[in-house]
Amino acid sequence: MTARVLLGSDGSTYALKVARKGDNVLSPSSPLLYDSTRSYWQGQVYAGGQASSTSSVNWAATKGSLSIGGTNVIPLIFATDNQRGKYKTIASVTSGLDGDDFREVSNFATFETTTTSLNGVQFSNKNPSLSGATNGEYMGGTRTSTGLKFLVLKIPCAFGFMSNTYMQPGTS
Amino acid sequence: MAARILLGKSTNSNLGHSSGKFGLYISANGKDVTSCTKNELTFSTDHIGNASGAIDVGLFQNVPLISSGGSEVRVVNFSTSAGASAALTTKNMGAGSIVYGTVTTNFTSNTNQSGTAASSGFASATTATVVNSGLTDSDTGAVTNVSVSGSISVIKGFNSSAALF
Repeated sequence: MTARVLLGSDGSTYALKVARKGDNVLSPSSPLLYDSTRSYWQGQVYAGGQASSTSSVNWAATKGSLSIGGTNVIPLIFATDNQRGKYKTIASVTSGLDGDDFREVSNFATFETTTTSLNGVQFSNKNPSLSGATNGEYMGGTRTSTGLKFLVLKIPCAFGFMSNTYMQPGTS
Repeated sequence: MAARILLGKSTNSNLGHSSGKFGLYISANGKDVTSCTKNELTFSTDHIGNASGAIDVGLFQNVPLISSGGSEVRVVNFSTSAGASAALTTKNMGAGSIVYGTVTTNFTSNTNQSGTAASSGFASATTATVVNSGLTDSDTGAVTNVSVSGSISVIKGFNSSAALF
């Protein structure tokens, strides 16, 4: 049996390290499951929930926003719903597409996240003869998410927050 | 050197342990686990539930699936016909885990088609189920449901009955 858990001195510092099944924590051949000498967020779950049908969830309603370094950050949220799938549609539509146009959308259970909410969003019309966001194109239209399940991770994930200030615990 | 790992009884008042609490607590580099704040922990065994100010309820964790050959794997493939479901076997880590599926089928037919790898509920203790339902386009409406293939992984759940936790 291999040594998988080290609690104590690793030769240079005191640490807790856990290796994968079958791997030796003293000389691991794969990344460790846990390593306390890596001072970054470890995938801790801060909050979560579910909803049968909604366009927006205030995920912070129970716990409050995730504050790191004195600032409410936009966290990494793992989410899935009944639109975990793919579709293809061809022409003959009332707007956005015409003629031989088609669109194929993969795994379009897409979401927008803020410091307090998780919102279902969808791909909007894309008329190739038009350009610019003012024509209602691109992703961003709201949608109703059904069978929603989500976990809020204690990991910042947004422009402005993916820096040492927020990605490393206790630096501010 | 700061004390960074505490296994046993913590009395750190900043963690709400003034009365003493047993667990495993690990602080960030340079932070003393006996006096740090919740934001300075990188690991904690506290399960604080819905209490205000709770930092974590556990770790984001992949649940092993059992392949057709009986091996523990992280991802398994599936195939479902239209409107059907597929049940995949998981390692028993308790009920309430989240099934995360993807559809890999390429639609080559010149018709409107769709399929899903959604889960209608949470996984049971040993079974993760995906359901192939039809999808709706924002312009054309319902799209014909067809058979699809894909793959799934399963993420450990925490409380399958709570709307928010």
